[in-house]
Amino acid sequence: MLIIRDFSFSYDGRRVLDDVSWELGEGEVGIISGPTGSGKTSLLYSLAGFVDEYVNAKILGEIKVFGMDPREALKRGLVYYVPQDPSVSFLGFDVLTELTWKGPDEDRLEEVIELFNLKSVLDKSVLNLSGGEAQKVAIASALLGGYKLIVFDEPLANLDGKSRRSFLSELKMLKEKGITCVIAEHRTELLESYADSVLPLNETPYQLNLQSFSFARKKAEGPLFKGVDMSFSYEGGPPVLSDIKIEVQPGQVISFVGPNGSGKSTLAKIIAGMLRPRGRYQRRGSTSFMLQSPELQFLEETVYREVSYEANRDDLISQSLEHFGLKGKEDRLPHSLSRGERVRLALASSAAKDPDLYVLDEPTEGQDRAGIIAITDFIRQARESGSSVIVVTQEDWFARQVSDQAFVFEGGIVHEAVP
Amino acid sequence: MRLSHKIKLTLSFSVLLLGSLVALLSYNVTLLATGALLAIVYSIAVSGKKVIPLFKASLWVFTGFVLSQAVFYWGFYAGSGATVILWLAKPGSNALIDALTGGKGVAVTYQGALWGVISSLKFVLTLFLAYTFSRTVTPRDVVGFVKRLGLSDEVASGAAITFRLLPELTELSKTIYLVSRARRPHGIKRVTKPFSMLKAIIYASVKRAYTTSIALEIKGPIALRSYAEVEKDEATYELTALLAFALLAFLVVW
Repeated sequence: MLIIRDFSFSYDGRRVLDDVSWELGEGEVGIISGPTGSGKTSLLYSLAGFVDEYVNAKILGEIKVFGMDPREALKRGLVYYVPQDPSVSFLGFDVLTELTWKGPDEDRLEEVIELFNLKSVLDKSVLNLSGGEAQKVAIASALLGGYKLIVFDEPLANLDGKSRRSFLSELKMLKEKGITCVIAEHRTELLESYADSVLPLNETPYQLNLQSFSFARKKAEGPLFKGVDMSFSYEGGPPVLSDIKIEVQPGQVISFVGPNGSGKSTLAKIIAGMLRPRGRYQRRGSTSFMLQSPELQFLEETVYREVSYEANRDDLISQSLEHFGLKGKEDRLPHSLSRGERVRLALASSAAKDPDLYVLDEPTEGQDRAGIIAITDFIRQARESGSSVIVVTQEDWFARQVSDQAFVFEGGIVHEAVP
Repeated sequence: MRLSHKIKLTLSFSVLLLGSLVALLSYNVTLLATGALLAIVYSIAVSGKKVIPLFKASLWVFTGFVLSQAVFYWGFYAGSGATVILWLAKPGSNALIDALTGGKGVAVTYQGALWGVISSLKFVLTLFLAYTFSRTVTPRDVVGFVKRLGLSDEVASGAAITFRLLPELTELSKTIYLVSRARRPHGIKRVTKPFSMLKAIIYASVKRAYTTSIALEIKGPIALRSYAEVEKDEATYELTALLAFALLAFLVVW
C-alpha cells in the first residue's frame, strides 16, 4: 500500500532525509519516530503529496501510495492530512459544516456523530474546540470523506491525558475499519503497542552544548506578581477563571497543570501582562514569556535578530543560541524552523533578555530528550539567579521535575499543590 | 427560536443593504448622521455593552477625521475658495510654513470641517454596519443564501472560507499586537516595532493561507447539495423579497 524506496529530501540547501526505505500494508498503523528536526514532517508532506506544489524541495528515490504517485492519490481523495493543531485545517465554520464539507449521506453522518460522541458540539465554532475535540472532528471528517490513508503530524502534542487515551481508542477503531494511518511522533512509548511498523529517523538529536548562563543576580524585593480575587472571561464567553489568588515570589518555579481548556494559558497571559483580569493584582520587575504558539511572538526575520530583540548583552545572546541548539541557524527565518526549534527559539529569546519572571507556556512541546535536558537546565539556572519561572504544562512528570509549587486547574478553579 | 433568527437575519440584511447605499452614495450630513445613529442603536440592541470599545474607537476616529480635515483641507490649498474660520499660521508669518504650504499658511476651514464630518460619518456607519452584520448573520446563513441564488460550489466555498478565516485572522492579529505591546526592545527597535508587528502579521497570515490551501486541496469545494439537507436555519425566500422591497423603498425615498 505504501512503499518508500531510497528516498532523500533536501530543503533550503540542507539534506533533511537521506536514503529512507519503508513499507506499510493496507489498514496498518505506521509510526515515523525521531527527534525534533529529523525530517518527520518532511516525510509526511511527501507521503501526503504536498511536495512540488507546496514545498520547494529536491527529492530523490521513490514513494508510492496505493500504487500511485502521492500527488495522484491526493487528487483522487484518498489521503487525509491532520496537522499538529487540527483546527488549522478545518474549512467549515462549525463542526456540522466541517463534517459535511464533502457532502456525506445522512445515515453515515448520524453513525459517525454517534460513534465520536459529537452531538453536543455540532453547532460549536471550530475555533472554540479543545485539542481533544478538534482531533475527534478531524478523524470523523476523514471517515465521512471516505479517505483511505490518514497522516497525523504529532497528534499527541496538544492533548491532555484524557484526550490522549481517547485518541488511542480512535486509532484502534480506524485500524479495525481498515484505514491506514501514518503517525509522526517523537514520543512513541504510548503508540508503540498500536503500531505495525516503526520507521526511526536520525536517532542522533541535536548536539547538546549546555551553557553556563551569565545571568545577573536578582534582588529579592517582594512578590513579582500578586493577585487576589481575580476572574477572567473572554468577550461574551463564560468565566474562564474565578476567584484566583496567586503570589509569585522571587526564585520560585511554579507549574500550572490541568486538562485542555482549564484556564492555564489564560492565567499565564494575565501574569505576563497580555490580558487584564477583574480583581486586584500588582506586578513588579521585568517579564518574558513564551506563547504556546511561539510563531505568533516572532517579530524579527532571522533567528539572531529574534534572540537579540529584547536583549542588550552579547554574551547572553551567544549563550542562548548555543544552549538551545540554534548556533549555525542564526540567519534562518524563524517561521521556517521545525516546531521543536521554534519553541527553543522562543526560549532562547527569553533567556537572552534575562528577566525577573519567565512565563513559559508548554515549553516541552515538540522536544526530544536533548531539548528537555536543555530546558530543564535553563530553568534551574534561571532560578538560581533569583528569577521566577511559571511553567504551563500538560506533562505532570515535567512539572514534578522542575517546580517547587504547582497549581492544578479544573473548570476555572485553581487548587494549590506540591508537585 | 427559528422565527427570531429569521427576523434577525432579514433585519440585518436589510439594514446592511440600506446602510451601505447611504454610506456609499450620500453626502447629506443629516442622512448620514441618522444612518450612523440607527446603526449604533441597532448594534447596542444586538450586542449591548460589548459595543462600548467600538463606540470609543469611533469617537476617536470622528475627532481625528474632523480635526485633520478642518486643518488640512485639500480645497484650501487647491484654491477652491474655502471659508477660513481660524488662522493657525497666516501667509508670510513663517518662512518654513510658507515654503511647505506654497505661501497659503495654515487655517481651520468650514468646508474642511464639513468634509471631515461627512467622511467620518461614512466610516462610523460602515463600521457599525459591518459589526452588527457579523454579530447577527452566521456564515451558515451566507452559504445558504449563496445556494438560493443558484451560484456554484466554488463561489460558496469562497464565501464560507472567507467567513471562516476573518475572525481567525483578527484573533491572530490581536495576539501579535498584544505580544508586540508586551515585548520591550532597546534603541532603534522601539521605533521600528510597529513595522515588525506588521511583518509578523503578514507572515502569520501567509502561513494560515498556506494551511487553508492545503486543506482545500484535500477536501475540495463545499458540497452544497448535501449541505442543503443538513442546514438548520436556511435563508428564506422572504428574505430575497424583502431585500428587493428595501432597495425599492430606498430608491423612492432617494
